[in-house]
Amino acid sequence: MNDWHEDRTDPAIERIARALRDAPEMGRDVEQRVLAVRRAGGDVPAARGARRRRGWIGAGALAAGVALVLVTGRTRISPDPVAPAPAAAPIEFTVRAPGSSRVSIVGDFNDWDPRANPLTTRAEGVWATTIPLGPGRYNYAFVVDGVAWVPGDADPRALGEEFGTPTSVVTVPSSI
Amino acid sequence: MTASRSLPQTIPSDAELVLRTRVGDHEAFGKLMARYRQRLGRYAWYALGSRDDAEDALQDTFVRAYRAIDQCTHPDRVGAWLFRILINRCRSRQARKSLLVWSRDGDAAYERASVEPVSESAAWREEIEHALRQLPADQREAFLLKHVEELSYDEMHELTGASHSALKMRVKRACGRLRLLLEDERA
Repeated sequence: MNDWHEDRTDPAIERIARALRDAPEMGRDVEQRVLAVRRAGGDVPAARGARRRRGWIGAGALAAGVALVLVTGRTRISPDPVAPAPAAAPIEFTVRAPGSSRVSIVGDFNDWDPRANPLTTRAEGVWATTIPLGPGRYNYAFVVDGVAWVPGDADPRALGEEFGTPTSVVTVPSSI
Repeated sequence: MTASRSLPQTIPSDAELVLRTRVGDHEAFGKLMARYRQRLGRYAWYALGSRDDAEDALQDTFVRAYRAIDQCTHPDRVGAWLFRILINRCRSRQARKSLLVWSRDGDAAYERASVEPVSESAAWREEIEHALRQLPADQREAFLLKHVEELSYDEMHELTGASHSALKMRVKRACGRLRLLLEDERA
């Protein structure tokens, strides 16, 4: 496993690396700050915006303990011409998860907190929620029954599975 | 990822702390953070070129990890899992900011790299940091993981998703670029 030495031919590089390893203490109070954030619960960023857009997504399959067949989706509701220009646009996320008891969505917009944005049932096993999002790129996934992480098939898969499970990336343009 | 000298097992084990965290033991996650914060923070600092950004990325990583602790499928390798989250956080931040270009001379840095003993000064390290920041992000990432974090290419592949050959090329280019940067400044 150790192919370390093949790059260690230059003593100067090794000395550079050694100097970099000798870094000052980092994150001295990070434990307190993180635990404080955690105790505060799901900190969903304040969202604003009124314009809407519509779009559809695709379908996907998943197995998580009990096999479930899911159809995931995100609906963008079309713009409201009379609304003032907002900083964020409501984006509707939908997923078909028949037989599931609870579904939520986690992503960059809610600090990956499964409690922050629960979906509600619409019809025939379809779960949905609307989240105001400002312009940007957001990784996200659905959490089914608190266990299974399901990417949204409407959007491309994220490069690099941050938590070891697949996620998708939704891009909200600055003008929609 | 296999166990290595760079990811040592300690008591209580990482796996035990993860399991305790999952049942609501805040202190257990605090111990995990204390165990990994220096190493993760150091990587973030060099990758992002700013201590403040590094501290933010570190906190962001721990918050995300805490909330997604159930997704850590191999609790005994939580260190690698945390590192993967951090690398992605750093990549996201790098995409949003342009790193400052070092304008200072690096001659002294290369000179010292060739002759100085182990006890490098903080000032020298700072000069090297500036040189490091001139590397492309993917080369800097590969260099840090290989030479500073002392990971194997197997571990680097698992963390970054890049192929072994790509990683080796990035490391070699990073080393060559560092030498060139410092030598050019010296000339």
